[in-house]
Amino acid sequence: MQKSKTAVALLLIAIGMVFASLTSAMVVRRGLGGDWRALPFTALSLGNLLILMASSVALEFARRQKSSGLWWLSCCLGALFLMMQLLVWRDLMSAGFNVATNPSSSFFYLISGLHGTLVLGGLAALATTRAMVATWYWHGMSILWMYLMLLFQWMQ
Amino acid sequence: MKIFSTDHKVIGKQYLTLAFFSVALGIVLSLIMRFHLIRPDAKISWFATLWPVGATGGIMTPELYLSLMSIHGTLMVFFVLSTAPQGGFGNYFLPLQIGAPKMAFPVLSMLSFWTTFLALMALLASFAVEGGAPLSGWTAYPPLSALGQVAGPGQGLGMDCWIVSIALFSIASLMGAINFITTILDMRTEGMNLMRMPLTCWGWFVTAIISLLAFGVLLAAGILLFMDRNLGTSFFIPAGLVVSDQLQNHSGGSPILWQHLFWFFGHPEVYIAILPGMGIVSTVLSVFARKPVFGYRAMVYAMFSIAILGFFVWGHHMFISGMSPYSSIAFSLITLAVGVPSAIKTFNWLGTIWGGKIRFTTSMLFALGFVSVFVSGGLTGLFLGQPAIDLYFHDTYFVVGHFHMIMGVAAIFAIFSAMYFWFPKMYGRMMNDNLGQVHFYLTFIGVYAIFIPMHFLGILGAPRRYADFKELEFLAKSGILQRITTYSAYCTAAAQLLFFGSYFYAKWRGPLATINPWDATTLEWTEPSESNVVNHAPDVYSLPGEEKDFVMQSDQ
Repeated sequence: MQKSKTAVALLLIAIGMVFASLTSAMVVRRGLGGDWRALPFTALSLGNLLILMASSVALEFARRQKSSGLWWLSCCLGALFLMMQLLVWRDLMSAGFNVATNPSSSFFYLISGLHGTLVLGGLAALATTRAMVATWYWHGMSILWMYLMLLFQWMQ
Repeated sequence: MKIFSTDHKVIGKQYLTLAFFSVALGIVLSLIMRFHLIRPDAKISWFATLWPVGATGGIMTPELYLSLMSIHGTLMVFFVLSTAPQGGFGNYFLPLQIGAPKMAFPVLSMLSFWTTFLALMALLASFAVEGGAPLSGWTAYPPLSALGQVAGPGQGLGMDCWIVSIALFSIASLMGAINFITTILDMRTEGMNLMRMPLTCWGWFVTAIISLLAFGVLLAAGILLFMDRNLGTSFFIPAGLVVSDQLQNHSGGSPILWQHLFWFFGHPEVYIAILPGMGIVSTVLSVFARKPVFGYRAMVYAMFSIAILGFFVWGHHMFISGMSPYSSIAFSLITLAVGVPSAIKTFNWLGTIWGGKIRFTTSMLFALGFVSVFVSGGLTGLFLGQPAIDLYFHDTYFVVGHFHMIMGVAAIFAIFSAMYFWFPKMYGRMMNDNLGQVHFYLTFIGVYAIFIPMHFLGILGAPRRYADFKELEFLAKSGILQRITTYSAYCTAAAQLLFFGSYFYAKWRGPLATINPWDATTLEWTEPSESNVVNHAPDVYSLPGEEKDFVMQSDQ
């Protein structure tokens, strides 16, 4: 359906604007003074990025080959990503970084939390529809997380 | 009529009802404020009944004044000016005008209305919570908006209500924007190419694009503010801040960061309020001048230019916040550049009526009134857009006068014009034109009488947001200006009762309307059974040698 394609493209633009403004807020906040502390990212968060990307790749093959198995694999990888994100949060907390500890951790919890919520919405969509636009949304979330991980690295 | 209807006409009327309620409440709040400004020591017993804390013994505290002002601003900007022209008339008439059977996503329309409704309820709830409504104005500047109860009575739970309300409103607007853009791109009937759309549709289209890009920024800013307030983060709160003799436990944030985020949304918001009005006025002028729109394409391009430039001028709200003079100059130049497409539009409106066989209906009068207040309000923008002059005028009544003229009154005139124009389509009956004319002239004279004195007050240096001016020696002689403003506000508000009376009378008792009472050309005026294939531009009038002076878009 043409109109659902248009709508999902517009939705991704709107989501992009939310994260663009958070990016600019982050750049400005970091530049304000010396209180910015680097976050202790572990291999876990990098591995997690790979899981989400693998999920996207699986979904693309599922769509092209009309494979139900791959579609569900993609969903499982997405769910795994969300659970692993919680582990990343747990690691950060045990390293002493809570929401209010430092602006770097405030931004990380906010941004990963927002992204996680959107991924959860995507999972719900993938579970209920096989529409092509659901895959667009899912790829959008993967690309967004890739960008956000780069941003966090750059902001260290 | 179903409450949770997915019919775009019902949703349009629901939006309009919500906006009517909000505007009535907003006007009442402004009258109370205007009364307080000329009689700051008056003891009013029902103030004490309504606000036992804010008006103990019936005398209004400055905090109560600020909370009334904040809710007035928020109601008017979000729930009236961003709601009636786009959500109200847009939902109702966009599908009709482009020949679509419905909006692209009817359920999404329904959700966006009810989310807006929840947003309004959250805002009004702030009056009822402990401490009352917030004090920070519709711009909610931190640090005082970010600290909680310590910063003032309404800055506790009331401020949280405000943030929740604005976040919900942003989400509703994003849903609406996606729906509008998709409808226009994918749902047009055969023959209705983009350049045959009535300019009203272009207004809604450009507005939806701005909403799509701007409301996400407000949403993000609102979440950051909410975290500062409730999770102990320091995005907007600097270190070592002492408020009410208490050291605040935050570090390193910047209130200016909020201003950047807020105004990146806030300036495009001005165009969200005015662009649908521009579209409506273009159409109405053309219908009642019996002439095609002068420079249709230029009108479309001018709308897009205004929208694009609008995203690069936010800094002109912050000249005084501490900004590099180089940035100021850049923001100033782009701001003044907005005058170019605005002037193109004004010129084309005049070109449209030039030499026309003008029919002075109420709707036409309000459209002409729109052009008048748009020019008057726009001219003062040229003063405020220049950093050196703005340093003086910033936060004075000059600004209040300016934005009420260009954003408030202009958009309201467009709403009135649309209401009088589309009433026969919406209710099948005619509004009384004589009453309408009286309503127009009283309102037109009234708004100038309210807002012109504000400019003089601003030139004298009267600061905005002050609950009274008793202590300010240099304003001792300006009481007459305040009184003119207040009495004009009373009269103008009373004149609106005429509109509401006329509206409800016409709705139930008005004379029945014909299908196309204005001899207009666009698709909403066709018989419902006719096929909607479009063969003509939206504004074919007065063809030489033809007996009928208009050609409908669906005519062969």
